[in-house]
This record gives sequence, structure tokens and C-alpha cells, in this order.
Amino acid sequence: MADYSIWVMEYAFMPSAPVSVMVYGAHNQGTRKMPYGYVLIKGHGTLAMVDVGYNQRDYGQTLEQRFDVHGWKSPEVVLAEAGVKPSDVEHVILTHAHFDHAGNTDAFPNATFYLQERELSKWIWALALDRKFRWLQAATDPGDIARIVDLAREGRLVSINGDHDDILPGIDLRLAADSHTWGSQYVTIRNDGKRESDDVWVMAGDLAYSYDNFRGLDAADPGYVPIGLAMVSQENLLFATDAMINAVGGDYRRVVPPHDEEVGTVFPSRVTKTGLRISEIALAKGDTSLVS
Amino acid sequence: MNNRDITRLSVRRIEERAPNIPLFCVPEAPTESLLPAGETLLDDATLSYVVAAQPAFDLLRQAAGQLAALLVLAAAGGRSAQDNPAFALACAERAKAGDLIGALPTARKGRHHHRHLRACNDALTAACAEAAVNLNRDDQRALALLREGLRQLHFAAAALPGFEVVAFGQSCCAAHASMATISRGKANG
Repeated sequence: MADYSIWVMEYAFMPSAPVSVMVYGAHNQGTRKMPYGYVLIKGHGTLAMVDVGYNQRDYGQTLEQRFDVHGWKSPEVVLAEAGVKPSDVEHVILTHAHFDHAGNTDAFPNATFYLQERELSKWIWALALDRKFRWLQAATDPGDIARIVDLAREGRLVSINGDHDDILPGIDLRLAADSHTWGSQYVTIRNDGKRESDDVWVMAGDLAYSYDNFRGLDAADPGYVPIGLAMVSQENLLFATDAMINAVGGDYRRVVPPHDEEVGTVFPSRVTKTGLRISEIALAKGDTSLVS
Repeated sequence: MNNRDITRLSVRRIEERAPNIPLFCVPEAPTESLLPAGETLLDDATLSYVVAAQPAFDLLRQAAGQLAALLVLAAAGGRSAQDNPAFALACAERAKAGDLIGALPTARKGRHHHRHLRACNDALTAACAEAAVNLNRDDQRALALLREGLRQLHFAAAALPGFEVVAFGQSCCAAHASMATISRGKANG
């Protein structure tokens, strides 16, 4: 049996995201629903999350009305489906500092946050560049950085330097430097606790938006295709993709892209009464399913 | 086509395609930030103000981000945050923004935006002054002032179109989905 229960919890969605956002170069190939989700991990007597979503108060209305993002529900509502509260969460791994992954840190008053040092230091570097380079930090919310100050002062920010094994038992962090962002990281969960595990899951963050990033759009000739946006390097995104798939032993379905609606068909899932989906990646011994 | 023309066309496009959707969000802004119903934003004076104010807004946003970053460095134990060139840069950008704000053209419909822009500038000025003395002493005042500046920046962004604290159109997940009411772009597939 698994050490951890793992769920992808949808907290908002974009009903019609262009496919080209999710798969580089796939222009004029229609649209797909694009969920926004974070990952809840429960086991070894602790609650952890991968990413925390965005700050609805400051710009939720803008996202809804101008960018077609709908259905946002607070962590209180979303996590209640798992019978937990945001204040119960003890550990949060931030895959990167974009607003829709690291924007809602205030909602988790008791959590320690784990972020790659490179992500933070390069954001600071980008902010100091000439205005001509503003694209490099235009999608960063200065308010998120200000919130990180509080975390650092409270001793709740752990700055990770590269790869780190067993940040929690069986959970490793892997740096995908200079890919989607400078310090993006993915989370490897060795769910049998073994160093040479037969039951590995990877939470991809924004290193992949879709399973199509792993197989391409041509079923007859599969290949990696990066996501639509890399702030740094598409090449590094492809190598990060390869590393993630190798980490799980080759079955790409074990690399979980929270932005892909297909997660809800690959894994057992259900739609809650708020219209948001919960996908159950793994269920630990003694835990109750959230989807059956 | 100059910036004013581009802005005018953008605003007209928004109003024509989605007249019922307000052009701004007002998460906490006072109610007087909303224009009276039926008022158009297309007058020349307002457009001139928007075009002139955008550089000042961008400089304040930049300065706020840099100050926040320096506070993170200081909070993480960096002993030389005050000596970091980014600190001087942040203060210089704030000062440049202040000069631009002082020279902005008057526009009736821009008054509320201008008020918040000035308030942001005042808060960041105080934040810079506080940080120059106390950046490495874990003093909360610089952070509190920065937060007030950011709050005013959000209010300013909500008061008129053409100002964004976060450029969602360049972000990971909102990329290419901008102005959903203008162009759904639902191709086959």
C-alpha cells in the first residue's frame, strides 16, 4: 500500500484555453478546458501541498472577466472536500513563483514553504533589469514577493539549493533550472518509501501542462513537445520532461500535470457540487477515497 | 499610429464587444472609483492622461517589486541588502515616477487614478526612506509601507483601463486567452 494519499484539487478553470498555450506550436487547433489545481498530499502523519493557487482578492475579478478564468473557490472550500482546513497544512512546496502557483500563501498560516533559491534570486535579478526587459517579470506579482518577506521573517520559508532528497519521507525535490522559469522544481513522491522505488509519482508543476507534452500530437510518432511558455529555455523543458518520465520508470501517466483535464480521466475522479474536480492519484492504507 | 490612437482603439473595441462588462476590477476600491453609468472613456483628455501616466505606473510597479525583493533578501539574512545596487535603482525609479506624476496632464476622469498614483508614490517614498535606515534590522515599517503602496497601485489599476499590476496576458496560464470577451477564437478541434 502507498505511504501517501495524493489528490489533485481543482480550484478554478479556464473553459477554453487555446491548445497552443499547452502545447508549443499547436496554433489554431482549437481550445480545451484548462484546470487550475494544487496537489494535496497526506501521509506519515502530515499534510502537505504542492502549490497554493492565486490571490482571488486582488485580481480574481480581472482573471474572470478579462481572461475567462472561472469557478475559483477558496482553499477552505476546496480542501473541505478532503476533510481538512488550510490551517492543517504543514508543508507547501512551491514549484515556482508565478502568481497562480505561489499567490495564496497567506491562506496557509501554519505551513512551511519550500522554494528553490534560484527561483527567488533570479526574480530579484530580473526586477533589477532595465525596463526593456520587463517581460521577464511582468507576470510576477510584487505582492507575492512581499508576502514571501513575511514567510522569511517568520522562519517559514525554506530556500532549497538544487536537488533535495527526503524533504519529507519519500518526497524529493528536483530542480529543473532555467526551464519554464529559472528555478522551477518538480516533486518526486516515492510512495513505497524505497530509495529504488517501484511506485514513483511526479508532480510536474508547470513543467508540463498536458500529457501531450510527453507524447506530442501525432500518435503515430510520439515525441516531447514543450509547453507554450518558457521564460528561459524550451530545450531545458524537454530535458526536464525526460528526467521526470525516467524518474517514474517510463510510464508518463505517472507524471501529473495539474493543468490537464485528462488527469480526471486517467485517475479516478469526481466533480464536486462546486463544479470543481478532485482526482485521486494514490490512496494510502487506511485512508478514505474522496472520489468513490 | 501613436499611443493615444492605440489606446483609443483598444478601449473602443472593449466597449463595443462587451459593453456590459466593466473594464476594471475594484477588489477594495472606494465606490467613487467607478465612473457614472453611461459615461464614455473615449475623451481625448482621459486618453492623454492614460498614455502619460502609464510610464509612471510602470516605474512604481517596478520600484515596488524591487523593494519587495530586497526585503526578502534582508529577511533571509542578507547583510548587504542596503548596499545592493537594486536598492538605489528602486529609489531612483520611485523618484522618477514622482517627477512624472507631478507633470501629468489634468483630466476629470483621471483624477481618482491620479490620487491613488500619488498615494502609491508617497507610500513608496516613505518605504524607501525607512528601508535606507532599517532594511537589515527586521523592522516591519518598510514592509507595511510597501504593502500600502501596492494597495494603492491596485486601486489605481482598477480606476482606469490600461494599467496592470500583473501582466496576465504574458503569464503562463492566461497567455493567449486575453480579452476573452473580445475574441473567443473557438476554432474547430
